[in-house]
Amino acid sequence: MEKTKVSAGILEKKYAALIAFGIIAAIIPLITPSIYIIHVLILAHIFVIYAASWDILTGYTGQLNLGHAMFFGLSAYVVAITNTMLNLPLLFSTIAGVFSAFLLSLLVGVPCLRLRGPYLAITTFSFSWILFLLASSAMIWLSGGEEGVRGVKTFVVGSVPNYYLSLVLMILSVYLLYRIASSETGLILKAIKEDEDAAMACGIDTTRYKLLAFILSGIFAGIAGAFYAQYMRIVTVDVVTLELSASAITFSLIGGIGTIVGPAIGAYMLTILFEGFSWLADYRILIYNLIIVAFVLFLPGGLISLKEKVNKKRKMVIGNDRK
Amino acid sequence: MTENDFLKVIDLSKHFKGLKAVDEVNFNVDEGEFLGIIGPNGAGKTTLFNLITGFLKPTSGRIYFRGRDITGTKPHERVKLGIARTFQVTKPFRKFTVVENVIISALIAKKQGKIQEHERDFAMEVLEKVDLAHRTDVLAENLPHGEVKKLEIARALATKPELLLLDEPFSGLTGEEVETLQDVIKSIHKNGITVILIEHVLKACMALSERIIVLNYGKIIADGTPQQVCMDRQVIEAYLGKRGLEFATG
Repeated sequence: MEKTKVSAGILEKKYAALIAFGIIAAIIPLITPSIYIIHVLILAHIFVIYAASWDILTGYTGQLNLGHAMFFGLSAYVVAITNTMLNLPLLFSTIAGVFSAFLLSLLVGVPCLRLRGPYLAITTFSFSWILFLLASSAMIWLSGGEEGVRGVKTFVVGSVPNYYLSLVLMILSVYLLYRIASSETGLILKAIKEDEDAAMACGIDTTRYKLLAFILSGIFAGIAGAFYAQYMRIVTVDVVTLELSASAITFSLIGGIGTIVGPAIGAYMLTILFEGFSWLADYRILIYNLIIVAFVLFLPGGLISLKEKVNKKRKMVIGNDRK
Repeated sequence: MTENDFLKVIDLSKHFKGLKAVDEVNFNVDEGEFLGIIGPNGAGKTTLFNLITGFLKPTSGRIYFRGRDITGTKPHERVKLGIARTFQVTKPFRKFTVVENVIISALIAKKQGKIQEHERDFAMEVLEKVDLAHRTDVLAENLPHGEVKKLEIARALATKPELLLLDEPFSGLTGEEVETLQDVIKSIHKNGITVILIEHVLKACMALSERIIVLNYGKIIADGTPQQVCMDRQVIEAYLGKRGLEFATG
């Protein structure tokens, strides 16, 4: 009985933070006149989904993915191309975009199931590199290269409606990923990350679960990419760059890898910081990277580990009381 | 081939680029038996284990479990059929607590309908059996070596095996730890689980095993009761060399 009470308390606390964030996020458009700030926050929402989707495959399952932008980028391109060139209704374009990310996750995931460590990392990197080359040169007739695919339709018109739509989408996506990660399935994924041979010896069909992680990761990155395409109304090679793949890693590193919520926080804060200091011009890239180095050196668990440290101290105090 | 054959290994070979790690090995294990496998370093014991548990594919030969050909099946499928193992070099889930390590196996066993109770309760039962119940919430990476060895066994037991393969469970343990672990393994066997044990600690192996197979250069050179095997000239020669054999036999 007592046990359920305790866990209910933790739940309430978790939801309290979420509800507080939801309320603040919901009233931001009401108090700021700046469309620019709203725009940055919409990007932050998109990158939160993107970072959390990277985390389920790499943070939870331990399959190092260096080319996460491929899922985001392919979905964005498919939405843009089917919507503008094939004149597909946006809803169908969106479904096609997410579906293409799903297919790509199978295409990349299946050969990657046999690979471990650096081999896997190189393969994911190569896939995203191929996609970048296709978009930036080989298939420029389709992608428009730097010019991009223009004139994508939007679900809702204007910054504020897009803000609320992205907010809802972000909360739903992160909630779903978090629920999966906290379930039995999440524990099994973590076991695979800890030791794949031992996981097999426990009876886990590691192939199946790794593929599941690939698919989940691909689909949610695809959702983020599809939303990005309809919000920006233009898709350029930016969506498949190495920088975007790398940012999935930096967001997660700073937030706390393998926690879903950590990468989400990291993506939210870094996107705002990066855009907010755009007046620093190229110096911000320097500062950005110094921050990353500082985190790797001094807080490898990311921002979320600060909370755990506090909790641990509290637990120790409680433990001492009992004695 | 009859349904009564528990484990049957036929002409099993594994070659690594010309090295015959396991070379045309044949043996049967009966249900409820306690089989020891000994042999000098590099004799192919662990390779044989990896073949039986599906972690390696044989170059040739077949493996039958309860009359079923399992040669091409994957490790997790063999766990489902009831074959569990531990690793010589322990592989705990380091960032998991002790009970979480065992819950993973219990979760899978529950999905397969092998256990009815809650996976956590079942994991606790198993931890009691290997004398680790007092360590439930300790992170696996903080356990001393002797207890990691027990944890490996607990994780294997939580898959509800009928056949348990233990790869050097006593290595690196103190004399006292060897004795307690020996009791644990004895009671596991008493509860009806067939055990195959690879061991370098010959004293423990001799005390536990009803039958012993001796491997040398990938081949079986002796198969019999511990007493028979100890007296075998080939076995003594494998361990001590020709001159050692002359010395031992006077």
